[in-house]
Amino acid sequence: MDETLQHIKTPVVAARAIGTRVLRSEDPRLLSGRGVFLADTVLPGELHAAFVRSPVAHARITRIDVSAALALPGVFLAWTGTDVLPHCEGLVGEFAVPGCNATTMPLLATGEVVYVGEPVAVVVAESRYAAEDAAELIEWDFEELPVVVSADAALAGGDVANSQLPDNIGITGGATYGDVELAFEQADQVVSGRYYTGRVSAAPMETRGVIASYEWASGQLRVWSGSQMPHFVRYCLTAYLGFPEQCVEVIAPDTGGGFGQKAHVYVEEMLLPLLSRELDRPVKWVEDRRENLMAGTHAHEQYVDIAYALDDTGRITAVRTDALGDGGAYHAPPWSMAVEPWCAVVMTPTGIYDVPAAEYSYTAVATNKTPIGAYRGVGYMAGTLARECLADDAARALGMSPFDFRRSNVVREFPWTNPQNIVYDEGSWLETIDALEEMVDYTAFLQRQAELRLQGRYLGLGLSCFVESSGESTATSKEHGLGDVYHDTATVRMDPNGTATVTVGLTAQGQGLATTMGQMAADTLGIRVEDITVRMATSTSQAYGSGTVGSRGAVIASGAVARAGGIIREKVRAVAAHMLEASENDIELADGTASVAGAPDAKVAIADVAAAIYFDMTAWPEGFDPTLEATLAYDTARPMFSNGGHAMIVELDPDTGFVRFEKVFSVEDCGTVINPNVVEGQIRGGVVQGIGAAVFEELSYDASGQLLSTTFLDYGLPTMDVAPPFEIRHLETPSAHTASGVKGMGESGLIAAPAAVLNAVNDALTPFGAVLRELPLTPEKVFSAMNGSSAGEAS
Amino acid sequence: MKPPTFSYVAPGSVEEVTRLLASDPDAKIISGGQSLMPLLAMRLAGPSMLVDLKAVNGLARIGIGETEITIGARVTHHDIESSAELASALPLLPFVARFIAHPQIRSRGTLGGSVAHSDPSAEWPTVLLAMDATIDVVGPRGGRSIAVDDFFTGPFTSSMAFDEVLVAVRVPRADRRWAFQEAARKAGDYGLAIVAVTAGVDADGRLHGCRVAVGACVGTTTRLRDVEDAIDGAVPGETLAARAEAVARDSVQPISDIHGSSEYRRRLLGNLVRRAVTDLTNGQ
Amino acid sequence: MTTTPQESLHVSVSVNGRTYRAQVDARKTLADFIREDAVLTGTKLGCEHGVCGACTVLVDDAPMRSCLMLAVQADGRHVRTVENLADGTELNSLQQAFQRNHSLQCGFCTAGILMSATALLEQNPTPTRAEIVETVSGSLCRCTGYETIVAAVEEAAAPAEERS
Repeated sequence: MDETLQHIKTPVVAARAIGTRVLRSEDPRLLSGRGVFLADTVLPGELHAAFVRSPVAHARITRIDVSAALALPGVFLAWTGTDVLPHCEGLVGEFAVPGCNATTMPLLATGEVVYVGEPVAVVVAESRYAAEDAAELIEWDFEELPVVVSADAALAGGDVANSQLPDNIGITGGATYGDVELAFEQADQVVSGRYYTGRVSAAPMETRGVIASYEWASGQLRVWSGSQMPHFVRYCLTAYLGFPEQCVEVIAPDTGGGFGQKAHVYVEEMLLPLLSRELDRPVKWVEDRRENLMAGTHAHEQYVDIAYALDDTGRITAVRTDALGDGGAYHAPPWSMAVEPWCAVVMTPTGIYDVPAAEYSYTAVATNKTPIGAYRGVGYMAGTLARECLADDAARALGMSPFDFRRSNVVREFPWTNPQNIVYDEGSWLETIDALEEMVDYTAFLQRQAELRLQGRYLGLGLSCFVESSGESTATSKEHGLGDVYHDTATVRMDPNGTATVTVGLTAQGQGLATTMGQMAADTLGIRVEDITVRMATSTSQAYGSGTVGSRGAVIASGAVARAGGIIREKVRAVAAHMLEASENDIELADGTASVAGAPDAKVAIADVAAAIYFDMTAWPEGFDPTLEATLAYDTARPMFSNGGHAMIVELDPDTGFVRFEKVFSVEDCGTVINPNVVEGQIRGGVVQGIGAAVFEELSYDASGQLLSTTFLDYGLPTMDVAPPFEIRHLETPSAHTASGVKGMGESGLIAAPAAVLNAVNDALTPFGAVLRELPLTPEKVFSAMNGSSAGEAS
Repeated sequence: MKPPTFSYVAPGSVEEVTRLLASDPDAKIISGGQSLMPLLAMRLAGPSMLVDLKAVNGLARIGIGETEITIGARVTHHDIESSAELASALPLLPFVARFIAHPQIRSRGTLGGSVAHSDPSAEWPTVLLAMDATIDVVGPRGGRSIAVDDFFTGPFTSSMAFDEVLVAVRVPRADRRWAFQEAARKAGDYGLAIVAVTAGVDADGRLHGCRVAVGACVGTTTRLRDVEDAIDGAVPGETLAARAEAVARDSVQPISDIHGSSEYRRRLLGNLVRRAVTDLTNGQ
Repeated sequence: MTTTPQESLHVSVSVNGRTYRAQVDARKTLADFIREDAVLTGTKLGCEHGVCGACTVLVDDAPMRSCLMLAVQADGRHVRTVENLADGTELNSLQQAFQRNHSLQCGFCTAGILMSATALLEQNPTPTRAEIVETVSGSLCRCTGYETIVAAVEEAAAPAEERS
């Protein structure tokens, strides 16, 4: 980034509240049932929407009749695609790299439906009960069309999933860095594998939802959505629907988890404002769980072929990766199908390993399934699964321990430039491997494993190390060949009594940002955490934000808070210096007091300084500007990378094929830790999501494209009884480019856990001579691996 | 996911319940509602009328008799789980209750509801089949008792008529050994396979009167008579357990769904039968 | 006792010690009654088919899914919700343990878990870890990974002098 840019520079902040286990300021409200989530928001006169969604995967609509629905008492409106089309053709999904073919997702299907769950009609009624009654009365006929339900079938061509993509290709491309071909020619050994991620849902506990309230007299539109990107939703309401941007406010209330599924712009978010304008009433839609599993974006599904060229010392000399993503029926805007295969191979082909040459290719194809969207560590999970599981395969092939294989390849000196010319400034990559080996007590584990095998018990240890680009920023985007511009603002205002109000442009879905930003502001301003109120971006009428995505929340918000707070800090120091008759450079702010360095008795309460700024001009230095409020933007000067790893011990039940999780060991280096509680919470939650994706969760389709997992009975999230205990260790290698050295880490649990699970299961399977490479590790797959290739064969 | 429209009534007597059921073939009984409410929310059931049993007296009692135990239809899974009398008189029942769903479901779901619903994946049908229970029902023509062997006729169907109401389940108080095995991936999941075994033991240690019931992996809760024959008259032990496993595998045609293929369930069931027969050696 | 079938009925339900009387559709769930008629929105709906546990409340002191019960079935009964736990000035000991242990993130599932744990601790002030795990396993949480939830319930169950 251009070093003349001011918004990439943050003041130095000494850690006092930073690094401590401050209890969350969010908790009293949430623990007492006083949180206000979307469904809890009730507007006077609100009406309720319900959708008719396609029950078939691919069909041409031949007739729709809404008359019976409209005739039902309490029904205000029933719209189909033809009613919506004049207002908006649909949401364009594409990715700004060559080889991407755009799609347009209609707000309601017209002509063709392309996945089960696609909205076909909407009904608005006086209650959700009545709206569902009416939705059942909408009659429609369709002619079924051939379905494409697998990535391989889509790639083979012939049947077309979505007529907008005649060859079923959503995006394709690739690149080579270094002499990969030569490395593979000269390799002493080549190991390779094809890994499959499975298809899952982020399944936040709160489903999606939208409330729209349009007032014609003022032209004001207010939209409530639990979006991770409310400013982008606002922008789309203007770009797609023509609502003047200055008249649009998007409000993100308390939100029950997002994990990327809410980092999209959805057709429902565009449709509800049209309905409110049409009816001159507020309209609310709260997604139900069945809709969420059908029509909230799905995640992951891709095949990753990976190969390492190895020399005879066990060093990787080149890596080849090819990712094939099953993208579903449309690009989910704004990220597109690239969100999985492109990210999987482009973001980190080399991981923590000093690999001199890399080649990758990626293709996402259209199928008659729900569109694939973002889920906590987009693409990284698949890429890490392939890379780390092949590492364990390679270690087995070479007769090395998984720790030694990684140590023989790990990058040891920083800064390190990978084959793509991405520069990694710092990291504790070797230290992570060493720490995990020590935490699991590998020698003792091997002994226990051997003893238990004699008793017919099968333990396995799996390892997975990761490096994650964090703090999604303009620099990160540029480093990976894209041109996205990110920056977010924060407003810091000091009150006359020396307390402060902080507003940041990022929304939170459970990450505790109000607490961690309070810690950052406290140390910036030298006041107590309790004396600060932090408001997250509950409304786009406040600070600006590019979205809570890409492990950027803590990094970007803290930078903006430190910059805006830094302005206030300098004003306080200037006035304190004047009051204490000292040099401004000698004034230190801490614990609510401004004091003179080296003169402990020369001090004044920050509250008194603030009061003087508001009420006592005699305390001001010459030419002082009393504005005690600042709004500044922040972006990172350089991309930054967190790192860490997980080791897992599992036990397999040969009678059932069940996987039991004995313990998880996690090492995380996200630079300076603002609040260990919050970081550990992110690790535990992310890892258990990874366990879900690796073992328990699967969105299953049948051959006709019917989705078979539309309830929490059939789509099984992990529960407490199957969740593991954790041992977590923090390493701290700060970034030089962020406020206090913070790096992001919200995604690392899910990114790296599935690889550790698969490696652990394969380690346990060693006596059976079986290796699994496809998630989820269902009881049947594990059972078959332990009992010969087919479950039907006698053991 | 909101239920469709229906009318509701909570009569005070069994007679009134049966009269209402007879008056409307689309009426349905609700008690705990733990199976019915999800079906209503998903609009997979659309009854015209719900007849609630909550005001009917006498259906929530556990009676410990000399030769049998009578459990009223409205007795909850939690009542069974926490009953001290049952724990001493028939510990299989409280033992099994803990496998059902979650504490938050067991506090409301009822034995009668579970049996009447006849879900092959539920625990009670399998266990009652192994226990040789009798189901008491009352209809407009009066009451009758149905032997459990004649009760479960298919998936979610029983030999009860639409206008009959289940009032009690009776279980013989015989001195028998028992074993129960369920393979469920996590708490509250439906089992992939369920096996319940009861058997008498002779003075010389031989099993007799064996009843082996299987649920979850089959379309209809059913007895494995081949397995019963294979273990009847034998002395329990590892060899017998292995024989039972092999026979069990060959005696069922399990269902196939997204949670497991027929072949996987066949092998799984065999393993559970082996575990159950092994448990029988430990006895009561 | 309701002796004539009706699509709309009068109910009287005590929620947190206050009686709410309303004419409701027979099909209205207890969860919707609590949220809409009693205007207590701390009870959340996460799946509406009885699996996620977010809507768990206490009905006559027993934990139950309020999405799996009709409002008319709660007529005359005593319901307690998450709003009833704190006294209006500070969090109760269980809630405080949740805050200390970072046992919640987004907070959407929390009310159901708190009510389940409340029932457990009222019935059994010194539960085993296995009993706590069984209770917590009746709720889905997508944020925390659960370990800290069990820790909080254990801490709330232990006498204060035993806490470190």
